[in-house]
Amino acid sequence: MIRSIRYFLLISLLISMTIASSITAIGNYLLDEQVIQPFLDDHLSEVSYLVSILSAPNVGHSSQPITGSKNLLFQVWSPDKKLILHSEGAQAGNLSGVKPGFGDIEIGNTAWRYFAKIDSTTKNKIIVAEVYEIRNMLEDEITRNIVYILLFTYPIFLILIWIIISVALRSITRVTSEISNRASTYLEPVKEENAPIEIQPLIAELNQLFVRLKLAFDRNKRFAGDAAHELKTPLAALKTNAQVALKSDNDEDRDNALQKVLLGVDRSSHLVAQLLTLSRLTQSQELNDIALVDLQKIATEIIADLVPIALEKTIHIELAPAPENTIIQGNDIAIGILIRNIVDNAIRYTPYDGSVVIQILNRDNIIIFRTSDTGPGIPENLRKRVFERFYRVLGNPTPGSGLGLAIVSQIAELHHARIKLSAPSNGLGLQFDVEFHQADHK
Amino acid sequence: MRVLLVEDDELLGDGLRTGLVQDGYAVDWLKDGLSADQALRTENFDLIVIDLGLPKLSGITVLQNFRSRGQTTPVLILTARDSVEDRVKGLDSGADDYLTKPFDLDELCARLRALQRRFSSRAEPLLTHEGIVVDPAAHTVTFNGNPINVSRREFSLLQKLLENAGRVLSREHLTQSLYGWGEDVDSNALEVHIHNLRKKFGQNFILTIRGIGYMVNKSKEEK
Repeated sequence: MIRSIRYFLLISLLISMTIASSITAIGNYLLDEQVIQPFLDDHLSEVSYLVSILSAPNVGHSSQPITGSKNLLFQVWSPDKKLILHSEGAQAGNLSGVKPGFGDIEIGNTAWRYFAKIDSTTKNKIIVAEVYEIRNMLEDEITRNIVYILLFTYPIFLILIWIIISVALRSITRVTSEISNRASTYLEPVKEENAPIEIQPLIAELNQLFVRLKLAFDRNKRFAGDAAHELKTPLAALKTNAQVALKSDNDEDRDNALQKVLLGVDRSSHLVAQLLTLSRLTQSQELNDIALVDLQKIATEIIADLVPIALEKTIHIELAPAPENTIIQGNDIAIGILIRNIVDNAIRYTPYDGSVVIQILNRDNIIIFRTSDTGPGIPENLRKRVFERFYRVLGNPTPGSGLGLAIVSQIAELHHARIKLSAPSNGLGLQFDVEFHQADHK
Repeated sequence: MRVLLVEDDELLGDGLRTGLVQDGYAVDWLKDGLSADQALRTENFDLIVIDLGLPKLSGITVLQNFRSRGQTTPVLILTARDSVEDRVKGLDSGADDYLTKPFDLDELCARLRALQRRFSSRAEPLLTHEGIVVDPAAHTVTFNGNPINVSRREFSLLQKLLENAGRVLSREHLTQSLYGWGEDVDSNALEVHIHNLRKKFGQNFILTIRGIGYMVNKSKEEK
């Protein structure tokens, strides 16, 4: 895992450069041997030519050694093996025995390179020798200079690389600062055009995330706004009725207003409870505590609770006998809430003396929870909208939080169940179907 | 003073109606925008209190229709939305004032009095006329410094006449401003109230314009 692109590039480039320069230096050193040695040999043979001129018979010369370099020596032997000319220090040895041509020789403890030849006119033997060490020193010197140059250019490279990397990374820095300078609520997309192609996919992904966040954010904001709005009217009703009660100068008015206060409290509590249910359901992406649930059994319990409300309106309420298998996989509490909301709605919207019939059907492993009522029904064009939060059909006189069907739809979705609204076969009222998958029982 | 209340919420509407009646208004309560729009085309009101979120026709539309007919009756809007945008929209559509839910009933009544006062072009909260001083906020009347007892309807009638001093008000208009719909009104109820007011403040105080209605002369100081 690379923690910093800048340092990674810097260090890896420097390492590569070091390796490359090392190879250059070593290669240079090895190559030098092949280039410099012949060159120096040439030089040695040229010196031998000069010595041959010096040792020509028309040049006056003594048997005194010629002062010269400690590292270079020469000897000139006459054909009768007499030392005609020699450099200082060349007495070290009699080199007359060496073969003509190039060769290596050891004098004392020092290795020498020599060149010997027989002068074609005088037949003198000319031997020129050079200390090996000096030859090697030259090689070393050249290699050292190369290394010095490399070392000198190193910091320059370092600075250049740093600048190049910084320029390359500037676009990333720009994107970073654009994002880091944002307010937490600013979720507009980051501009992609000016970014290098390497990070465009990253920005694209980021922008998609922003879009999703913005949607979720807007949804929450709208929900909170709607919830607050829905609570304000019941609160206003509470306050107004309480003030009316305080100002009333007769018991009847006061009692009446206080009754309204109680009703208002009930209504607000119902709304808050529904809001909490919905918010809990909305937060969860998946169902917890999934178990086998018998739809018929839960329906029986829930409907028993609701029967008194139906009887108050003299509504005929009935749970039809169930088929054999009414077992689905789900969360029993959520299913209970779903059934309660659907049946409660049916009872509330059905006029006096109407009827509400609940049936559970099993059709090809699809278990259908069906409620048919004799209420006003829902016009076809509004059947989708009634599941939106706080949506209430205009002119609808029945009180409600506007959340019941949103809750039903949320629970159905969590159970992968389908909701179908239709008019019953006789054309009157509403038929509300929720289609569950039958649980595979093994 | 006759108020049209347009509020779809059952509990709030009921509370408001009772509260406004307690404060001496004749209240007509409608629960949707469409019937409010129709009522405003045919009836006269002294004040209008309207919720913005109404079924069938939004409060804003009702208001715009109302103003586009050139009607000037003061309108106070009730709104659950408290964003500046919503309030600006309401005021720009022709409202004179607004209150955000939940509001205070006393404040609502005070704002309605202020609207009435401004509508009858007077800055003084008290109505005065020839020694009569009417305090709409406290619901008290004094005559030459002495407190006078008047019934709720008499008070409303007196206020209405004084606010329109110098103008003739029709019998119908006056009756409408005293009684809401559905209230039992005797055919001579208005005459009875006029009679009582004359008894309390002098026979010549209210002039009868035969076949048209009643009026109170402008105060001498004002002439």
